[in-house]
Amino acid sequence: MENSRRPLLEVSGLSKSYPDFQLQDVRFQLPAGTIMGFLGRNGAGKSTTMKAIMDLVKRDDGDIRILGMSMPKEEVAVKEQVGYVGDTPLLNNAWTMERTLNFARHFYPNWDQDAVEQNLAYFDIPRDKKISELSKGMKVKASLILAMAHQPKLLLLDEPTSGLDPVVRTEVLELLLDFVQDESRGVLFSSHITSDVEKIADLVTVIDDGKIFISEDKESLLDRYRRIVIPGSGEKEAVDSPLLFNCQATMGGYVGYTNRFQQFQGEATGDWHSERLTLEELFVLLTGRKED
Amino acid sequence: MLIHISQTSSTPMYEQVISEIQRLIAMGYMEADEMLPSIRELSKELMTSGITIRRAYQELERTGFIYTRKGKGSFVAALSMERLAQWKMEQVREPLLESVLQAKKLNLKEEQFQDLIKRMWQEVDEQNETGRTQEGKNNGKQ
Repeated sequence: MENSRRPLLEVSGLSKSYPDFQLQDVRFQLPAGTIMGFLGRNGAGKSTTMKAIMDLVKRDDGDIRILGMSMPKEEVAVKEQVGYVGDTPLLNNAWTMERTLNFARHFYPNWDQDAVEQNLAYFDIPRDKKISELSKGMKVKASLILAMAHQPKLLLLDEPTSGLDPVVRTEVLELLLDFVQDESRGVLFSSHITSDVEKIADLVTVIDDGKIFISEDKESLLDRYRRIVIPGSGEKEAVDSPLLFNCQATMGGYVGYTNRFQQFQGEATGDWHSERLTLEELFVLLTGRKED
Repeated sequence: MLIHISQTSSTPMYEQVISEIQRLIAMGYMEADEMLPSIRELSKELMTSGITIRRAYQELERTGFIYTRKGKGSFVAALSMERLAQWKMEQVREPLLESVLQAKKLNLKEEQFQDLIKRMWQEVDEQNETGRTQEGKNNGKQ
């Protein structure tokens, strides 16, 4: 059953050219019931990809399907199923939360006022204060509540946790985990805070310089990469393994990396040991500029 | 469920979840046929991704600690005393092996290593003793 279900979000062959930057053949799939962390350095193409999914940026090429529906052809139907929070929240600063909610609810037949009330209370967001008077964290939480109010299946969040203090960040992550308790839903959130992605994401997609590097389940990703440490004093046959890359001599030995740890384990000889990488270390390893 | 995990530990999250649930089962805090939280529930409770909990549950099932009924959920398996004793030894074996390797690397003698274990065992016993009597005294004062 689960396998035959169509992914919530399918992005394929997405391309967009700017004079100084291009998205090239961006492709990934987000199955229902999962949270995907979308990692990339500043300017790697995260926001452009998310805007292109929402058709806020016109793509040059590619295909985008949400619940099997095509964007932007079926835009109206799609947008009932999507909650999007961009890098600049679209809240009117002069309005109160109350007025904002009363305005927004008229656009969505599926508006869930009970959930809105619950979330406002849970997050302690005042309804009578002007948006401009809310703190940065409050504004982010207010935009999230708005994005979830029409009970979308898919949340697209551009850097929802950046610039927030640890307490608010944790609250936001909890809200996302709560959202996918209903397994027909899913979340795509971009971030450059790898620890947030490591905590709650089921899938990790890494974009670098407009190209998708990796899109895979977080557990298998962290499983197949390892730092391999080879002491220099003993035999060091393992250094010659074709499965190692970025191999460098250090004090007392060699340090290299493998992305096929299981195979390495089976084949490598001599003295060596392995260390698991955090998502942050892996991210830096993959997207750090290599000197050659 | 009383599960203690650390987001900053170098032990992978799924391994922490596995050993915590094994501990709860082995120490009798969870009984045979008791239902475990759903993957999504536990993921929210522990602030960790669903795929991490799924992996932990798969491993617990593979090692016979839990069983899963399709559409119903996961449950604690009935484990024999031998299996539990074996699991307890496994828990101690790994970290101890590290120490043995370290001791050999540093050219310690076998007797020195065994003495160390004996002494540590006694020390912990003594600490527990004094801890308990102090607790008793404090209780007495109140």
